[in-house]
Amino acid sequence: MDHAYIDDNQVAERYLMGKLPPEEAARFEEHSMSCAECLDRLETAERLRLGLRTVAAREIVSETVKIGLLTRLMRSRLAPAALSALLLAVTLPAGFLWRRADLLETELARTREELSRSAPVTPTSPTTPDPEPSEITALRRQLDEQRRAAEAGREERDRLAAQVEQLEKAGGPSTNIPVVSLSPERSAPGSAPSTRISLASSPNLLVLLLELDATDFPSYRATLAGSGVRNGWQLSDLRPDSQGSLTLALPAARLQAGDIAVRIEGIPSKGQPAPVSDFSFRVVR
Amino acid sequence: MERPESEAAVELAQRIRSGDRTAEEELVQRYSRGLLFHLRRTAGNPDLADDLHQETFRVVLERLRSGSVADPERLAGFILGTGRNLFLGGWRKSARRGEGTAVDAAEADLPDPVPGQLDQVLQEEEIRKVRRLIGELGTDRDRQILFRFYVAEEDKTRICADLGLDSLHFNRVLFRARQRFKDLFSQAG
Repeated sequence: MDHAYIDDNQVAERYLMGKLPPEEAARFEEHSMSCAECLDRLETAERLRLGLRTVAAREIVSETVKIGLLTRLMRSRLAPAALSALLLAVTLPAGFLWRRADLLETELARTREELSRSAPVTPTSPTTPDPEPSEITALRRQLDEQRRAAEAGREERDRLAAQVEQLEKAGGPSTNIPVVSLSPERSAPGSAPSTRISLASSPNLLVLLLELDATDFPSYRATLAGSGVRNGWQLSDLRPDSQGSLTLALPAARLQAGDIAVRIEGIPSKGQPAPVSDFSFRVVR
Repeated sequence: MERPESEAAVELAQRIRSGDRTAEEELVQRYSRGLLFHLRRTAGNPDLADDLHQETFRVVLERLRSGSVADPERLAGFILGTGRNLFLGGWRKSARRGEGTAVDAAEADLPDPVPGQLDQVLQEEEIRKVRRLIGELGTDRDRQILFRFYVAEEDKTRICADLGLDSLHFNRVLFRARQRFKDLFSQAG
């Protein structure tokens, strides 16, 4: 085989990836059996390929851990850029996993074919074929695992793509943001909220100014619950402004029509959180 | 100029059939490294590949001595095929009997997914070299080429089209990366 052709067409790499047509793969395989130069190519390419895959896999694990910080990222100006980087990190291994699944499928087919041909060489060939030779079972299992992982990767990529799109849209200046000042609830618990906030104009954010009776704690925690907020919400490390108010900026898209109760607890430097004030309002769409 | 593979193979086969012991040594020398590389990829277990490698040469030499190799011009393919058949035969026997001999079955289990301590150290060393190589690449575009080709396994034409590259530039990046990676290993060795 011509070494210039092998280099120019990445024959060694494509062989390792299972991308060569069967005839060319067989020809290269036979050639490489006695060609030190091509064995060097194969060994280096294989090491490099495995090394890059491991590095990519570690990057994605590290990025996945960082997904826990997504809530904070959502509030940051850098959110679109950071999520784009994360999306890229997710996309590469997902692509790899799909490709890997395809390769395993090819390998499975080839193993089946080899098994059917290898019967005469095996000293104790069975008179009836094995229902499911163990290597096929192993390959099938591996294939299923790879497919599941690839599917998970695709879902994660799609989810992040949607978030990137949403954040990119929200990346510019926002106008007409409703800012609502709330006083602590004085009425009996369970009664209908007296404040109604209309989000009919679909703003990006809703800003709440929560007036505290006293600001004795170093920081506060807000818990939002009720039919107007999906899955509830907890925001920590809140600090009052000079007027004694806490400011919360809530993504309006996550609020739906219904009542929302906001409980503020003070977080002492030592000991348990203590209830400070309760607020409530009704979201109208 | 080096002789064509088919010519060298036919001559080796003839000499072995006529009882030339040095030809047997030449055969092993000529195909040993290649056979081991392919068996390691097939078996996924270096110890099993070592055993298969030895057993393959035993079977191949017996066949050559008795003159029962049908197509000596394709000796390399015959050797590789014998190795793979032994591997597959080991799997089948192992599956059928639930037992086996050293080469046939005992090591024909799935490769241990948990690497030993030495393997882990070696892997870490390789990862450091890969990271160093990535760091040494001239541009972010070169890094993209490597990851898209080796990890995402995208086609060269697509990568070139996306990044606005010609084939020559692509080849050069890959060639230099491979060369540098090889150097990093030879420096360590």
